[in-house]
Amino acid sequence: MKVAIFSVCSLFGKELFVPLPFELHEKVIEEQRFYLAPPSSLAKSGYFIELWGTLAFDLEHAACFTKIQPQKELDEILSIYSVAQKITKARSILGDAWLFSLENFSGKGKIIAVHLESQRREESDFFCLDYELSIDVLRMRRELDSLTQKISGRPGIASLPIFYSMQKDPKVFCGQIWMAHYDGRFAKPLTRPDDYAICPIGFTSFGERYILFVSYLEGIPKLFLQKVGSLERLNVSNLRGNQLLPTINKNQANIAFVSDATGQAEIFFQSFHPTKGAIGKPIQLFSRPGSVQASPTFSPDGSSLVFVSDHGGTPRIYQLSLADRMLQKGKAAPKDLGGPLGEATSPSWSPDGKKLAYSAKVGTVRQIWVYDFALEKHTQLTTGFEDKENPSWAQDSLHLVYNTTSPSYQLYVLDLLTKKPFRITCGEGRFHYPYWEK
Amino acid sequence: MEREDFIIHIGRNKVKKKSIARAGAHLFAALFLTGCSLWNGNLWEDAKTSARYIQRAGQSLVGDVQESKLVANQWEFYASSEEDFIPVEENDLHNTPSTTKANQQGLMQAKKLPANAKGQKPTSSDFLSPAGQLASIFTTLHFATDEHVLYKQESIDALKKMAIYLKRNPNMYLFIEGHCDKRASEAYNLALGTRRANFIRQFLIKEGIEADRLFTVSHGKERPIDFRDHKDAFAKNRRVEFKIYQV
Repeated sequence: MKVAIFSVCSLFGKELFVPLPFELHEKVIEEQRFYLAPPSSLAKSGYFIELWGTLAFDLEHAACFTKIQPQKELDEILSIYSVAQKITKARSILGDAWLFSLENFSGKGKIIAVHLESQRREESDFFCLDYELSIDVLRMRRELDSLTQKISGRPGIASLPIFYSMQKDPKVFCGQIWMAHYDGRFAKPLTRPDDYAICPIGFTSFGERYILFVSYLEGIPKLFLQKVGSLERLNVSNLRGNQLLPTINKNQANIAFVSDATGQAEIFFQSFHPTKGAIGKPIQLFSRPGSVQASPTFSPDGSSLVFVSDHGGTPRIYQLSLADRMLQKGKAAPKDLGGPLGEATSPSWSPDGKKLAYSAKVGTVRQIWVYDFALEKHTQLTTGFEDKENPSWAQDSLHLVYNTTSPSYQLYVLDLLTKKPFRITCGEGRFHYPYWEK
Repeated sequence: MEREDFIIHIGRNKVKKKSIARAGAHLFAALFLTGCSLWNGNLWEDAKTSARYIQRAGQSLVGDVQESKLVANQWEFYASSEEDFIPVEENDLHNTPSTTKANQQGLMQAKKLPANAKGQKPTSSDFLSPAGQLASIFTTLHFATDEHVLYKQESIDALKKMAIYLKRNPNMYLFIEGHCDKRASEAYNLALGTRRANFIRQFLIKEGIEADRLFTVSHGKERPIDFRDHKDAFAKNRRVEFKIYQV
């Protein structure tokens, strides 16, 4: 029986070793301990309580861990595996424990205990706190993402930011792009306060973080590129007319956006450099007289594009092979992806390429749906009376962020496994057009 | 991913030697295969490609030498140097008439506006809502549900009045702002807002206003004037407004 002992960073709690059978990987995962080094006087200060609370939140919401209520549930779980000797010690310890259910990923139903320690050991990884909450939380989240990757093979999401547009007063035409942690905390504005900026796409290239977004600063909405931390911006494209609803390819070498350069809203494909903007001429991808096209999204491998078009009467979602279009075979007819009849819009292709999230009306209320490409099946993910739009995937393809538009504009994160959304914004103002960095 | 930059030298001698030979080879292949009744769509594309080479070869013979041009990707071969973008081909539209060509070359919006009074690139603060007499000319126009065309005579008359004023004031630039009601999604509405604005723009062009003085702006449903969830509010929000920029 292979045994894995796994531990994650500790703040409080006592030693708890719970050896369990572990069959996910062929080799035993090495023991990994993290020890935060607080001065003793601060050991139980509010600062650490906040860090502890953040870790608990992240384990549950970002790392797919399920918190187990002490003792009773732990007994039940441990009894399944008939682990000897050290169980006695485990049962005598109170404190929080998080169990990661591999059922979510493998269906095997095996469990790994994650436990916490407060005593430093020689082999502990050690990092000093900065006592700046945003920095320490980010560092903790990066470690947690690394842990998630190691256990599940899926990328972690806790350390990647969400970008969104925020308009403080809906009656005043000013709005900025903001960046925040995935739980909505540590939010900060990135663009000029006198601008109206929407549709952010955040990405990291050559070690720097950038945003691609739509700005009305020049009167007509145009695409701009800006490094996070700077207010200098670069025009992305010289294409005439409005430039709206950008999206970027996984390799950051291409973008697609909507423009009315031809006299109607159409999708254009553009070669792109992350720091220089557009390269060469944009390519018109699709046109139908008298119709409107919107919301392009790339497949992760860059071979296809999904977009919205109303050339069939009402807005629906279509898939277009980019290879067919680029070779101008004349057969580049987009494929209608079917789905509910209720005005399907704002599609977003999952990073693993397997799913498409979008918004569609169910009766009179917009809900978030997901389309499985392999099964060709549409599934409604959300319920409730709030209109929901603009889903954006996290890089694990298991979480989505979206915004409501009624009764108010707020951002929510949805875990596809639990189907439980949690709100990450509050207060007055319109929070919308979210984008989760991947 | 690495980007491939193609540097194409289209000089007289190179075209003469390489392209003619290549064109000849393609032409021979096309004729041979046609004779063997092995026709398919790909062959037609190759024949068109051959014709382009022959054309360029002919141009180089009469001295119309193209300068070296850096192209970002292979698809730029399909665009003429005058075009701002690489258009979708007619046959991609499955024999339906294209509106795109009608809007190219001379009917498209200008790339730039003239500098403002300070000699700077204009920003949104330079585009003014019409006031006084102008407000009665450039009046807000409202649309019926799901419509982007104006049918009422009073709306048509208003547009003609705008056209007359614009003709008398050649230094005036007009921003046509399309707005939508809240019922469709905000992303789709951003694209939809261009539809109403472009209808107005094309109407004014037909009335004789220069295309490069008219600009569209889509606000989608980002700027409602009535925030209620009621059909009266929807009717107020389905509108086109105007901003003026004068040099």
